[in-house]
Amino acid sequence: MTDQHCPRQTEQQQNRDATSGFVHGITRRVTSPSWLGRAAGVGLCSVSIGFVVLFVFVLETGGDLTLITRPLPMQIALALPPVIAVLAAGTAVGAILAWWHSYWSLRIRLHQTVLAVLGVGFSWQLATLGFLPV
Amino acid sequence: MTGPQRSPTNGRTDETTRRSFLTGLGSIGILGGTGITIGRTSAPTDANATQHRDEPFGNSSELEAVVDKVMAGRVGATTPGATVAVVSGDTPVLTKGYGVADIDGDDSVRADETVFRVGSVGKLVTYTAVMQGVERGVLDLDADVNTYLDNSAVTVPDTYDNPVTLRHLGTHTAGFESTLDPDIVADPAAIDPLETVLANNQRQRIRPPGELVGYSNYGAALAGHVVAEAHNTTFEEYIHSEIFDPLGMSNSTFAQPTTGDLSGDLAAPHVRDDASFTVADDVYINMRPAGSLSATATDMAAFMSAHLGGGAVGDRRVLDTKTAEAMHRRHHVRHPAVTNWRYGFHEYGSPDANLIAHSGATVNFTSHLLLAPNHDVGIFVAYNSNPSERPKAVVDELIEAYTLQPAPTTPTPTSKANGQERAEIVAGEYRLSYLPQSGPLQVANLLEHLTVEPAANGRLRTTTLDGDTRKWVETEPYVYEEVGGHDILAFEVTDGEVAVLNMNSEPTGVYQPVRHHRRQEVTGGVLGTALSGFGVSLAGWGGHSAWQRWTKHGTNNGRDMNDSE
Repeated sequence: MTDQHCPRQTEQQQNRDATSGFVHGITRRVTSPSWLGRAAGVGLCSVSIGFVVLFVFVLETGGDLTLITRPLPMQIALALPPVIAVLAAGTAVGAILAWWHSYWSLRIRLHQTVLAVLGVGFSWQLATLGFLPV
Repeated sequence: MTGPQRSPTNGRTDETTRRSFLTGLGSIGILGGTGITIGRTSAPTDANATQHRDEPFGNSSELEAVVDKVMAGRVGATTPGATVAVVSGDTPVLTKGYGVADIDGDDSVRADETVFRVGSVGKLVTYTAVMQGVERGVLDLDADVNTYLDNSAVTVPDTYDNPVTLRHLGTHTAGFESTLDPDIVADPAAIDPLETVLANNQRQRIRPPGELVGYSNYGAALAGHVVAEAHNTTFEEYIHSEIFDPLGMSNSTFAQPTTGDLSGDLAAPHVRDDASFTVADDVYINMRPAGSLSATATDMAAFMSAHLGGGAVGDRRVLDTKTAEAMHRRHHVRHPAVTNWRYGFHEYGSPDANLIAHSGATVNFTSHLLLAPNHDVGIFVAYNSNPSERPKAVVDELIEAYTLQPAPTTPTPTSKANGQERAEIVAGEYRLSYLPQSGPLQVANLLEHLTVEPAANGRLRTTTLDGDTRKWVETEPYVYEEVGGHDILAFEVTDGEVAVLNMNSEPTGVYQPVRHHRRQEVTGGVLGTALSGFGVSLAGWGGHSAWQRWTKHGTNNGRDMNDSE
């Protein structure tokens, strides 16, 4: 019996360890300002480009009037600018913390700062064009 | 649903492909020398309302041949179906359908039976109803519209000292913020009472009334509501009993859906599908007085004849002659050198031609109505689609074929000195007053900016983002005529700065200078730089990640090989 139970216990233990490790990894990351700051930068780039691609695609395929008739893809596109603004703010906060606490290498800190400036500029123009409630 | 469109001032049919974004959105539903003062909505004047009349059509067969030729290249290519009415006084010289009403059913368009949604052309019916109220003494063009709204949930805020009047509503000078959207809904169950629609969609007042033209669907809907309130009925019932019934317009209605109201059949809306067309879902317009009219060409012929006939067709009268004349006089002057506003109608084409018109559209219908009072002629064209080349192109060809306006002349440069200095003063970027200034539709505003640059000898060059470049010659100080066309730019300059740019072919609004941070080059530069940076970053991260995996894979392979050895 002991021989029969050992492999199962080991397998369960491994699963528990894996789950615990995963949860620990997630917890460690979402409570890490440096990781969050960098993730905001990645998200800013991805969502911004995704917004422009989707917005232009909907206009091209559905016509200009989709801005008024607002089909679901256009509703999704128009929901993204506030997300971009939040991510830009997160990127900017990440850049400030990076310089303050000397996270990362100088090269990455500079890159994060550039992303933050671009994010703020992008959000400013989104607000100017009426995509963000001001 | 409005259809602000350019007037035929340059005689170039390829102009219809310009400003596609604007016309697409626009489809939802459009003194005294220089240094001109603004604030010009006023009592009617007799300007341009001379009644010299001649009849240009030889006979109906000849006209039909001309119209057939004009329509031949368009039906099936530009639109699956069209309906046309041409009247000479009280006589419908030609009412004819072209193509199919529904491409799935292959039903031919019949001018007397096939009903088209005419969009903002319906505003002319609404404003005719306003003039009936004026004639009866129950409405006053210069009274505060709030005086008619005592029993209504709708009210106009007192943002400015001067109140909004029916004259402002009929000339689009009330100063309401534009959203272009006349509250379009896809589900007929979402159609609300007009009072509810207007109360829920209250527009801000962003300009003092009477100063600048800014096309407003809300304003037209409000005018319709005022008519209904003043007569203690609904807008639809009033129009039926006081305009459609007297004129015998039995196939016309503002009701939505139209089923059961008409003896004719409503044409299906179509969208282009590669080389062909497909039937689209119809939409409904909650601001009904602004654009929910559905009518046949035959009915629109009766409406045009009534306006040409001093308010009556034979013994069927909807306006007194004096009231009709008052409606056709100028009620707002943007600038004497360009097209201005009659009541509900805007002037069209050459300022000397005394042409008055209105365009219209819903999402997938388009139309155009033109009256040439000097020639006693009316032309109406409607499509059951919304192509980039719209029905006004047909109207323009008929105007040219029957010389309803003078041919363009070569502009003569002004003899006044300092032309180059004036060209430098007016240089800049301009935006249209009737385009939204809030919400995502500001993209339309940005894309439609007009850039004015000085050229040699005091001339100007204008460009738009879609590549339309035109040259202009100064014929009077701050007034420029188009080279190779007869469009006109008229600037209002105060203290060395441009206040307003009036374009003859844009009667539905005026251009205003754009602040630096809203200019196309700023927006384009910032957005382009940011997107480039984001793209390069994503590519860099992706490349770095791939490189790491590749080197890790290579290391593992080397280790495996070593192990196997």
